[in-house]
Amino acid sequence: MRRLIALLVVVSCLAFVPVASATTTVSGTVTAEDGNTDGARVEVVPLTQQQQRADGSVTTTIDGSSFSVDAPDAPSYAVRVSHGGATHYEILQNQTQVSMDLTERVSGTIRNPDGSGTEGAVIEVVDEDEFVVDTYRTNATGSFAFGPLESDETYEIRAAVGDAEYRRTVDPSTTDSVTITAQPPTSDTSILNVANRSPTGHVVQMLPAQNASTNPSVVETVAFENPTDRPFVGTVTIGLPADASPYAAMVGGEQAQYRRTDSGVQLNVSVPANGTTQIGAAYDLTGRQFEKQVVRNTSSLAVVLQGYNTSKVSHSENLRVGSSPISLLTTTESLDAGETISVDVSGAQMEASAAGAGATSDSGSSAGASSSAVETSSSESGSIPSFPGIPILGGIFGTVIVGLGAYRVADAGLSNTGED
Amino acid sequence: MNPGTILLALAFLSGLSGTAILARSYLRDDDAYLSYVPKLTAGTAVLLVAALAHLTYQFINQDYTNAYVWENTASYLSLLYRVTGVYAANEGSVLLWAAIVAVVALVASLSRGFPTRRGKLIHAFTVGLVTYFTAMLLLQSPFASVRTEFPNAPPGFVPTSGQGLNPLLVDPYMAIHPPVMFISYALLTMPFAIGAAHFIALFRGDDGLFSAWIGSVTRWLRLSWLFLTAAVALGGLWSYTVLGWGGIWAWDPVETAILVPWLFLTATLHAVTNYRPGGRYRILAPAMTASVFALAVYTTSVVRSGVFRSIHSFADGGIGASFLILMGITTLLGVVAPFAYWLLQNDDSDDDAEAAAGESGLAGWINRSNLLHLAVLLFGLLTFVSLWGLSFPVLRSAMTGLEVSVESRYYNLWSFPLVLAVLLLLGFYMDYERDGLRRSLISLGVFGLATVVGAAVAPSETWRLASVRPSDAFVYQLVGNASALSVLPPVAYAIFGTVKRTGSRIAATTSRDAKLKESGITLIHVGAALLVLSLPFMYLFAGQASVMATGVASGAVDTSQRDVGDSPYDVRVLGYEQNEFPNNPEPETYALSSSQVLTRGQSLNTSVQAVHGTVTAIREGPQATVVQLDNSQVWVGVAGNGSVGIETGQEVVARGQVMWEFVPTADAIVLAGPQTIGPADDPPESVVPTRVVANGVSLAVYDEDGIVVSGVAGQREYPQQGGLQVRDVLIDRGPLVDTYVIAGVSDGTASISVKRVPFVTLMRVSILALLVGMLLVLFFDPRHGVRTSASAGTSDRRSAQQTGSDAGAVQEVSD
Repeated sequence: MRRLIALLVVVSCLAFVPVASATTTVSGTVTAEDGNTDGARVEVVPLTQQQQRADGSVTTTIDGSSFSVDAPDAPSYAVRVSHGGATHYEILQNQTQVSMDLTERVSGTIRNPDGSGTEGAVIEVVDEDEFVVDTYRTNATGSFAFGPLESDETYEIRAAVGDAEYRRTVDPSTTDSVTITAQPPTSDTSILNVANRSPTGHVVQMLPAQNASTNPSVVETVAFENPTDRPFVGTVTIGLPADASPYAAMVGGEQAQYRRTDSGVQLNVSVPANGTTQIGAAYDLTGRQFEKQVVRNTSSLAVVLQGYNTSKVSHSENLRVGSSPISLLTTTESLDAGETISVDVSGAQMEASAAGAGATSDSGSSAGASSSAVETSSSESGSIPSFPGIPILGGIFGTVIVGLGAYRVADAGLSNTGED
Repeated sequence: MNPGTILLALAFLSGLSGTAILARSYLRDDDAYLSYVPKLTAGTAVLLVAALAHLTYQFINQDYTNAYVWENTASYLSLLYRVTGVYAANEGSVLLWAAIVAVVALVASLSRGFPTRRGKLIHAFTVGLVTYFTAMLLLQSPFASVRTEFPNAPPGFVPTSGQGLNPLLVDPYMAIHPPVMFISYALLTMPFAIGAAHFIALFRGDDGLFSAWIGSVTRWLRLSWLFLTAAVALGGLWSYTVLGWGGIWAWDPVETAILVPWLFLTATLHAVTNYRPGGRYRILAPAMTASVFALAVYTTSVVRSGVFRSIHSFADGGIGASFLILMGITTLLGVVAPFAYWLLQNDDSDDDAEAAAGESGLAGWINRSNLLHLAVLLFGLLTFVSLWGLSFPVLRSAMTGLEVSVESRYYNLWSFPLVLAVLLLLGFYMDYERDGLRRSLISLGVFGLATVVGAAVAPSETWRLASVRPSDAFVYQLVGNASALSVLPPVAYAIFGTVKRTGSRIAATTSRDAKLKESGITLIHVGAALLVLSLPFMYLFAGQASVMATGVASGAVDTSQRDVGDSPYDVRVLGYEQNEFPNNPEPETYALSSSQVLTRGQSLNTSVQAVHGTVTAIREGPQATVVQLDNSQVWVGVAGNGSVGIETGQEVVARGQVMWEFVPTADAIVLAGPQTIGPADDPPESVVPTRVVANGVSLAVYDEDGIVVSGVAGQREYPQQGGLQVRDVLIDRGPLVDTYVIAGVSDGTASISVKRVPFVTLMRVSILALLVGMLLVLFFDPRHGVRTSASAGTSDRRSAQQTGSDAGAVQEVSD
């Protein structure tokens, strides 16, 4: 019997391990203003470090005001709480406890410029992690109300009226009511600025040529910011260098239709009031030189030159080698509309990109080399450690031989003294 | 019914009747019909070997009426790789396995016979296993007609070209690795049968048969260990050259699956050495003997049949479910039966420790038996580490429905301390045998301390076993931070102890066989220690650097010597070559002649075929041009008006749908297009698809002392097999380090990586030592060697006496 019991204990331990080690308990409390969140649905989604879905999600319901659920192991989790028609999100990084306090409300009105309510406007409430918490469609009075919302979060109210979009950031703990006047959209591009965002609002990325006979291509992106209360709906042109041939364009992260004009690539763009939109174009160059006029005033612009040796690139004086870990050129000071930038990469493409050269060579070029080499070779460490093979073998066999010798001497000594 | 299926069916009947006669004879203790059994055993073996030969012949002959042949070969392959196709997939592998088990059963019955009742049971198990494999083959046959692949094709339809062999298997190592592995698995069935029969005998109130069969068990175990070691090594070397891992081991599930039985077999060999009839290990040694095979079947099922990846879909039947049943049977006989016997035994009956405790203190605890006990325990733990890593994802997925993969550092970091403990124990055991307790304890203390100090001293970060993250478990932190220096003292101690003991033992004996056996034991243990030495350094001190060469294809490549990254290597690109296979093959090898088309007639109707022949007439119409071949009733129709660029008298090839009696004026018309007809000496791509495109750069690699290696590195692409790519690597096998060159060639750019892998040659030497050592032990062991048993006679009774007397005389020659 003793054996049987011992065996059962061992087997049950083994069976327990895969279950126990595989899951993490995620728990939390959700309180609402009226104190009643009982029965609300909670979904826990395991996420990878890069915030991608890592595994199947698990769901539970709130019992009283708290919940607890076993979720697959993951570095972080997204917790979705559905309550009162809205969905509240919390991202957990290195923690498994959630506390949500749903006590705040926001209401407001969308008005036409004449003061009447805007009917049929679609309002979204977006939280700090860019999750849509709730949506609402206004009635004839143009009014809307959201809540309860979390007390420790700021939200963005996004109202879409036709093609135009209006944005307003609110902190529900200090602001209870917002009024957005739906100014008619404008197509006047002069209200748009190149966003002064980090790292820069305007990026020109030169992609190295595939081989000696082809020319580089360029991906250019510009983030437009609309600081006014009027949304922008109209066309925007990205200027192209002479003889460049475009092959793709992007608006707001999605592939978009474009029209080739004399001045460049023309795109239909909508920029929300108080918001930004990123647009871009990709084009092939006919030579090794990139030269274009800046269409708008730009506070800073970056030319990314991955795969090129920046010290061999000749460029206009308004650019300088940047100090970031990737190889790039940045503007020395803000550019005025009409100023010309030029970059000539003839002979600067790195023929031999050495993995791990980053440690030795100077400035930004080295990192560019290593990052481009990573694409072509495996991601193992790029250095070969020195290998003390002879000392290792020498140590082993030296020890064995010395040991054997020592025993022989000891044996001889023992037999001499007649001990053995 | 084709010849192959008939052979299998006959083998099944013969095996089944043999098993039935043996089972009846065992149960009733009645020898009626027993005289047929040797003939039936021989018949089964001959029939299965004939089936295997028939399949091999079909492969060599490209007989595409067989679906399995069609799936696993193609005409461009050389003879060697046509043969390799036989075991490229499940059905052929099982046939190979079955044939080898049948031969093993035959050899066992010929060499020993089955004069006793228990002998019949053992033989019933082996023949029964062969029969089971044969039944599996009948259910999922390697001789199925190709019509199962083309259910809508007309009767008599045969494809003209095969699908080709899995590109990863086109390698010389793969040509021998699977047979070696299946031989070792087949050899394991004998110990399994003996162990299982032993426990059945015990349950029937008998005293078991293990003691009488100990010689056989030892020989079969050693022989399987020899082949299993070779199989593991060949598999590792294959992955080293083909997969470009830069090492021989990556804890891939398939690799782990073969390592688990190897580790447990090693433990079993030590357990059997420690076995004394009626005394120590009287349950454990037979139990382990029986479970090695069960473990091998279990791991094979886990990785091979896909059962576990789709645990809910048994419905597909076939080999997956058959393996599960086999796993159930072997587990029942090899694991559950011994366990049950052990549980039912009286708890207090097996206290060897108490017997030994007569001696006082430490000396009472440290003796040969307990040290061997510890070795078995450590090998058992090592097996468990790997087995758990292999099973954990399966268990977890079954219990929680979540997929997970086990990182290689789980295996590495848990196994490392155990392996060091094994080596220290080996050194101590040998030392203790030679010099007694006091001296050996001193040296164990010295080397043990050196190991701990070595673990703490890392000359550089490279020496640390793993880069640990702060969130890691304590064991990972501890072992991961240890230095590889800690491996040196245990290795030195193990070699030192082994060599020292061998010296004294060889001096003490005058028998040549005993001397050879001692040398074998020494080679095995020194080889194992060197193998352990090579492994951590092979991974920790491996490194690589890369360089790009542009303009390779256009001839504008820079042929000067250039640096490879930060490494001490330079490389010179000398040229570029691209080869395609098949390269202008003879039309007969891929296309039907006009007479063959006419012979096959109706069966070709509506199938797409390649044809060849001499143009004897051309008629151009407004919609199409028709071309007559060889003045026969076979015409090729080319859609569209205008010239098709061929002339009368020219040898042409064409590909298209064959329409039989489609037009009144011709028996067969092949509907081709302008792209699918062309001259035979320059056939269009669509008629003869390229099977292999080999791109490579010829290059030379230099270090400070001059040229290291030169040759062609690149890759082979198989466009017809999903564009799968296999690397052609260039390896310089140096005494201390291997230089390993990989080149990825595409779009005229070659990305050249030079890897340096330390101690691969040391590992090769150590594997060779293991194999040669085991051969010596297997043949020359004075007690259980093949030579000894051949000269001493092999009857049950005889070896029972022999073992009995040995048990008294105990251990002067055992390891």
